[in-house]
Amino acid sequence: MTTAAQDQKIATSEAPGFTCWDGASESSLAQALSPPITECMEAALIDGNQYSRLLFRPRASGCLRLALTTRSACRHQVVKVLVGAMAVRIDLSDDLRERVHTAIQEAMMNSVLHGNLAINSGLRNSLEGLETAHQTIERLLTSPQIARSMIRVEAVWNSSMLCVLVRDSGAGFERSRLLSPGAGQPAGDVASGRGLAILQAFCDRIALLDGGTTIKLGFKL
Amino acid sequence: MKVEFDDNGARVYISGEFTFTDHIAFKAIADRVFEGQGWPIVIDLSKLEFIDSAGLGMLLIVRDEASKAKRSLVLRGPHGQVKRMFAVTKFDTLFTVEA
Repeated sequence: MTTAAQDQKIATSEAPGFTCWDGASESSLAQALSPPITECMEAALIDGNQYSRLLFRPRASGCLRLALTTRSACRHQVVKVLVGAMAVRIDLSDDLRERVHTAIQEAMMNSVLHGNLAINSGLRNSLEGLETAHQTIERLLTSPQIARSMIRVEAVWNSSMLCVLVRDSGAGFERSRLLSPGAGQPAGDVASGRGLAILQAFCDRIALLDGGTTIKLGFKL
Repeated sequence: MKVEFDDNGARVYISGEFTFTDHIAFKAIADRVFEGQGWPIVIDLSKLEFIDSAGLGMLLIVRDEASKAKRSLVLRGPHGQVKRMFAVTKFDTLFTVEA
């Protein structure tokens, strides 16, 4: 078995454009995502030589890909950093950057809370529920398997369109649930209807793929 | 997310980003706000740069708690992305929002 540092060295030396993130901070993520990197994987996800080539298909157009753990998605404002890295590569107006940031954040939240952690929406609809939700999340993150479960974000663009796919490792959820805005679910994520309203308002296209484990967001450039 | 209090805890200044990672921090804010009685509650958002739907959901919880406690609640100074989120989700109709 190799160490994480050895794995990182192997991964970065064998794949141009690929780098690892140490999972430590938003600033280290920003550094890891600096051009000309196109693909970044959190070091905790690397196991031997099974790294990102197995996760993403090659793309000819512009792309930026990030694979991270559920733990890091809960600990850091990852989306803010990722969108900042995208803005270095794509000419995003202030309006579009705001829409992209907001939409990816909603998709990320959905992937973390409902995909990988399988937290019930209804849990977060009272003050007591917030504490219960927090305790539940922290308890789940003590499981190495759950804490290391993967979230993948892939941004692909050309001159006219930006597509962002957010993939979780969960069981997915029913499309009918996504498409049924629910009053009485103050937690307000994608599954509640408020998150969906936000995605509809901020994206030019939305699709739910792979049995609900992937949300695809489209933006006209 | 950063938080400051004033007026015996009834005025709350939230800055930075308010997202799904802030459940327990917001619970602590709400606990302090509702420790007092009779004060109108003002949540100042003028330095809040970003909110997601979980943050919006937490504001709704405070609205419900304020209603139970018969205390008025004002959201003050949303701008930029936060103001846009309020418009998209019709929060303007659910809260007293002041510029």
